[in-house]
Amino acid sequence: MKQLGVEITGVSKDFGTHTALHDINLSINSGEFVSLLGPSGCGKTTLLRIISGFEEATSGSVQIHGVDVTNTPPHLRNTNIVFQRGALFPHMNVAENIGYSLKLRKLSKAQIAVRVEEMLVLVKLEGLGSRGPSELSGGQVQRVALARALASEPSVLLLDEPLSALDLKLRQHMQLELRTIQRQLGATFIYVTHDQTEALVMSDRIAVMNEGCIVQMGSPREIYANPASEFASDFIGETNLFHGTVAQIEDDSIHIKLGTGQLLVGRGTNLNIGQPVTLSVRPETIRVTAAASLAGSISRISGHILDVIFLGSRTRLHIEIGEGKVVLADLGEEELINLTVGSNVELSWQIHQAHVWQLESGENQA
Amino acid sequence: MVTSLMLISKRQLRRSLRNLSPAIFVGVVLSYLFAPVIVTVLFSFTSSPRLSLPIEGFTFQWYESAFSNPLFVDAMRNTLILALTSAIIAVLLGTSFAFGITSIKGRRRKIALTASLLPAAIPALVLGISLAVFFSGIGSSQGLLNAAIGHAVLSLPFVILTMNARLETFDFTTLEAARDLGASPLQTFRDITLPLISTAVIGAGLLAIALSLDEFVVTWFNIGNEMTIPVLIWGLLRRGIDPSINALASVVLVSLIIIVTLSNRLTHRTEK
Repeated sequence: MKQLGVEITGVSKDFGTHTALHDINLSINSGEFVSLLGPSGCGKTTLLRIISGFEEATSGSVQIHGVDVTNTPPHLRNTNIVFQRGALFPHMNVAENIGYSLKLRKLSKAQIAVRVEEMLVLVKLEGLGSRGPSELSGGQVQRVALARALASEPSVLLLDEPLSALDLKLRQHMQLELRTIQRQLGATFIYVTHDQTEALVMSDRIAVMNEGCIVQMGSPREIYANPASEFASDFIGETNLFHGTVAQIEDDSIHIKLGTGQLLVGRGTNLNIGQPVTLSVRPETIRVTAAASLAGSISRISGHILDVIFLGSRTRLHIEIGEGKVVLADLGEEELINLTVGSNVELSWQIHQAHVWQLESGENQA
Repeated sequence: MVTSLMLISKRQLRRSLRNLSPAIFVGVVLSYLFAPVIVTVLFSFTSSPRLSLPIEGFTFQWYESAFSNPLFVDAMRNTLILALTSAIIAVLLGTSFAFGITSIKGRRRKIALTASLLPAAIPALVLGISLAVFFSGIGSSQGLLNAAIGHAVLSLPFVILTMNARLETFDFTTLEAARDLGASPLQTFRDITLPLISTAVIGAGLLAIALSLDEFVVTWFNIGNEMTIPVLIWGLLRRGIDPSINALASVVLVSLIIIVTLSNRLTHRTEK
């Protein structure tokens, strides 16, 4: 039986005339690591602040462990935040920072000391309790912020882009560590980020947000492999987007015609012939073969290689397919034979690896 | 040989003069600024009642006569009351104001800040008369309270400026962090806000005290029959210059130097 952690029902938030959140519904299980992923201004931080009580929802309700907290002020909610830049108390040392919530709960000095020590061990900062916040590195500040937020054993930990100020190496390291700590404690983590890699690495589930709505909710693998919209496919991972119109429909196989006259095939539902659509296909699912050889895939277009970029574990090809449209394709070492700049090639993919959606109005990427 | 040597030394001389000239200029300006003050202090220790150089002997008698003046005790008490009352008013108002405008964004914040600093540019004479007219208009008779309010008006812009500078580097998310960790608004103020702004508050308060201690014009128009140290000095001056005035002035001077230095130390200390 999965226990309910956070239940958000019909939450909307208006700032004056601007609507930051539209009717958000979100259920998070106890012990789950959920990321709210989206570009800046998508409402993810507002949602986090509504869960923590710093913003009041215009409508809707928030329940934590089955208790309605919609009108509970932040200091009476059992949620703690790890802030973007730590927000450590500058006049307290590391141990005092970590112990602050326990002091407020009137624990004895001895109890606080024990718990602070546990927390320091958890975040691997043993022996740094007497340091001041200004004597810490960026990574250490975030560890202390994490320890401080976890010390009082909150039912939900909210993380507001806590790693965004760190450099890449440290960020990757901390991502794994956060994941380990979350599993170790069995705690509920809600993690706000605009960094899709971060969300993919750490989350049990990701809620992809755009313009105040949750556009897709699912496991990282689901969202990556089966993005529900052009936005989701473009925002998570890299993808090639083609705009065209529906030329033919066979069950859920959609044939679309590009402006250049080329025909592509992908999967889609609820589409009509002649409708403007977008097709998305990930660079690593594209197969590239020399123009003459014909493999057994169904969707196929031709082009010539503009550039070959070595990326270490894989190689990226930039392939022009006409009228300046460039397609990205990632290949492994063994597929690269005979492919050099200027080669004429054929591109193909499995039908189920390409997704077709109705063209999103207002957005018009190339 | 000889001429060339002389040439070199001449050139060197010119060069060393050129190097010296900025130092000389700085010295002249500084002595222009400080000579009167130094003379005042020196004369407060001279044994001759005539203020003339050279100083004849060393004595504390002018300090004794200043302190034993029956008006002195009263004036000192009033000066301190004024300084403390006006500083408390200015710090309370100024700190709240500085916090208040942090929630205003953009141009309106700038306008509010500039408007609050403007009184610092109004001549004390105008302010003194305006306040006197205002108080008589609302039927409040002249006295210490009126003068204290006047002093608070004078020091408020400086308090706001000091507190605003402190709050520019204030991390407001620490307040949210405290609330988030379970602190009530009052506990947050006690545990986080107050400790973080206390040195700036004390610095601003000392500045307000320093501004009040030697204030004469606004005091004169609003205090009525009461006496402060500057008012006392002014009264004594009307009966001719006597070294006990120098003694009083020196006391004010030294206290101001101490207070302003302390205030500077506190407000410019980087809080981490």
